[in-house]
Amino acid sequence: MAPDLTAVACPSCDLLQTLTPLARTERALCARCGHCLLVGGEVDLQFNLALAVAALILIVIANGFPIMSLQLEGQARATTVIEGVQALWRGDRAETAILVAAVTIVIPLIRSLAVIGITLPLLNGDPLRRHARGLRFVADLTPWGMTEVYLLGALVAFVKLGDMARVEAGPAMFAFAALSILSAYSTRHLDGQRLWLQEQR
Amino acid sequence: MHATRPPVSAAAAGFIACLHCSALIPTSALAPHGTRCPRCAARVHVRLPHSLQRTWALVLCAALCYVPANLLPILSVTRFGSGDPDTIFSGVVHLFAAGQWPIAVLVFVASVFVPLLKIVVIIGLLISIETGSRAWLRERTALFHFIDFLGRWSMIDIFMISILVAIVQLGSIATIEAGLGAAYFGAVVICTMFAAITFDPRLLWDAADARDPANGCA
Repeated sequence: MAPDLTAVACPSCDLLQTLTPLARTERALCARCGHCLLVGGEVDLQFNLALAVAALILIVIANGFPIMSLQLEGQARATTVIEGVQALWRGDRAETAILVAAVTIVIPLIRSLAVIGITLPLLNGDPLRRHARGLRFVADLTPWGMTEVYLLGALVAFVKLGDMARVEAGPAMFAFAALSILSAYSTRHLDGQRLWLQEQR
Repeated sequence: MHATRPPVSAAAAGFIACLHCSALIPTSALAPHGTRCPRCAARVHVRLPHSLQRTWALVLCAALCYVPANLLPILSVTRFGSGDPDTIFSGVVHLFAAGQWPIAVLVFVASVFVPLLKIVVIIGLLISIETGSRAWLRERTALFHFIDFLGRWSMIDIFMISILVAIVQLGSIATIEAGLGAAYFGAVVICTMFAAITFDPRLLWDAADARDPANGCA
């Protein structure tokens, strides 16, 4: 393969420079500010589709099952993510309830559906151009999905409650752990910039 | 390293970089037809529009909300009818007193330290642009990306509260309610996240270049 040079500007400092094709484990860093310009390897659409489908299944588990249960005075109390949102709502914290519901349930769900909606037609040979808007939508949504932060918040609640009663982690806790890993992969692997570079070659 | 070829920014060379697909678009090619990337149709700008004004507004809003977020109770535990409101900081103190210092440190860093750090760093970066500072350019750019990455982790406390509120409200001996502090705290996190989105780190380099065009790589 002939070495094709791609001229780019660093998104972080605007320095003009050229990129050469990278091996799978390589990263290109900006010569001036050190920001990562591009990571090596092709975007694997099938892998992205698989991640999104797995995330959808996990989102169902994460919301349908208790995140933890508490045993107090011989009574067991379990709670789900949605019950947490409802409790905030009932306690006159509607704005906080909406925020929690958005970043832990709604946005991860919409993002996974959007990824499926993009990768399926692309795998069937649709041109990337037709899905440009969807790709941008997914990229804009990504920072607002906070499943990994929720997991840590749940663990803190777990430890706090462990002080006053016996607590047990529910299936949703494990689903959130798995979702955190999947979302980290998905953020790395559905890279609009690399997809456009691939298309250009 | 750059002795033979001074660094040139895309803007100075007459190009706009599409932040979504990384296409380089000649500024002249864009002029008549508005502001869409010809490759991916994303909106393109030489620099993010009104970056300084928007970021100042959002970060000052975050700073304003940070005060009630820390002074007002974020949750209130009612045991046997008597209320016991907790602010973020007193929650940390309780965790310390209970001997759970790793969690106490985690909550302190995520809820008290990181939001404050984010506000202070963004204000510092904005001032460094206003003054056209040429010092520590690479480090200041990296610092911005670092706090951008950190910001979301401040939500830990809000999520913890949502679980405590649900699980303990059902119990008979104690109930927990979220306080107004939680709402302000959420506002701090959202404002700082939006401030990081509206902030354009390229302005750091522009400001340095404008001060001394002969040498862009300080």
